[in-house]
Amino acid sequence: MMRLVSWTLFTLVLAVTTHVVVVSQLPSFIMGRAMSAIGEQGTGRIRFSDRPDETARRVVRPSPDLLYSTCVYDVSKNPLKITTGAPQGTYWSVSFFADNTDNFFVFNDSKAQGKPATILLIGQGQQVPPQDGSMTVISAPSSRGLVLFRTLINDDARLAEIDAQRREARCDVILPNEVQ
Amino acid sequence: MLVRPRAGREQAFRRDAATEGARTGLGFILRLLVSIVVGVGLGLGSAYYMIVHGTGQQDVVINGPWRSNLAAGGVDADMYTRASVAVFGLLALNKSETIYYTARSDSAGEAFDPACSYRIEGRDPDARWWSITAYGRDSYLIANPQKRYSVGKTSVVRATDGSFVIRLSRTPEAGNWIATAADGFDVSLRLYNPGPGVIAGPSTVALPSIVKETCE
Repeated sequence: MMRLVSWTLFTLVLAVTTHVVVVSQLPSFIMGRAMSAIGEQGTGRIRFSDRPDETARRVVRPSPDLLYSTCVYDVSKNPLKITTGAPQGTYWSVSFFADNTDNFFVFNDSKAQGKPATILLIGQGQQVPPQDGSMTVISAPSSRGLVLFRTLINDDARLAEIDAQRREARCDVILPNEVQ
Repeated sequence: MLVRPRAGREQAFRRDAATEGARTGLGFILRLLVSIVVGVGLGLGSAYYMIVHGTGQQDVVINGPWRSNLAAGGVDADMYTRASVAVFGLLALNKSETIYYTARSDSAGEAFDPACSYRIEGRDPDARWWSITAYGRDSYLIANPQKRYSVGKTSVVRATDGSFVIRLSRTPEAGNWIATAADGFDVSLRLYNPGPGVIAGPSTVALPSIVKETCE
């Protein structure tokens, strides 16, 4: 009887451990795969994806009304400077995701008031490099993650114009003491 | 003469002990294997169930046929919400920027039937911009020659009173139409920069209804 109870307990502990490990680690695993797929050019380099259609397979549930631009960040050594474009007359946003999928910061066209914005992403415990104060400085909760720009195609006739404007966005790795 | 039987018994005893030991060892390994298979299976199965069915997630709201997890993308999301978002909506924005609703059934509560057509009817939701998009069972856009994947605030054709009807079907229809898939589909409603009405009452604010029409 004791033997049966011991084996049952062992099985249950194994089930709970498997459950918790799978559920808690799945986001980082999927995010890691997405970052590998998106960031094949390397960290700190922006990718301008085409308008999504049925062939868009890098990330689930893409919106066909948005143009996506992405860059994978790694702020373990150097901060990343993100410069937004300023597509006019439409919604755009730049959002920051930690390696566990958390969306820890969003900046959009309403906040930018029609102008390009510069955001400095620094790692945990890093010093903020000297800069003129015009930048928004945010601290990344994980050393690796993803920056995602969304630009709304609010009029199909403006696609080429909106596409050109969103391509003014940049991601640049900067040296810690580089004056910005 | 007396030694031989004793030696024989001893040999037999050792043989029996070795056989019993082997049996016990084999039994232990078998029980261990069964426990591992059952334990890992239970763990994986329950994880799959919790992630797919959304059990245990925080901040889930239901509004007619629409379901949303307001914790999606947020830094306070629990592990089930994070896992579900990773599988079904990676890179979702937090609720201050966008609220995502998903419908897998019509307003009568019946699961979408790929053989049927549906109409989505209502008025503009309270948001700076909105869109309704159909996805296949694999959560990617549904292939169709017309490339009609979605209808949004700036592309929807409205009646004179401001209301709209969007048709969901496998075959093309005039006006607002989104293509569905033969092997199953669901629908996302995105509300970018949701208005105060949505933020205050995400489960009660007026959202479009989904009505089944004809079936093949």
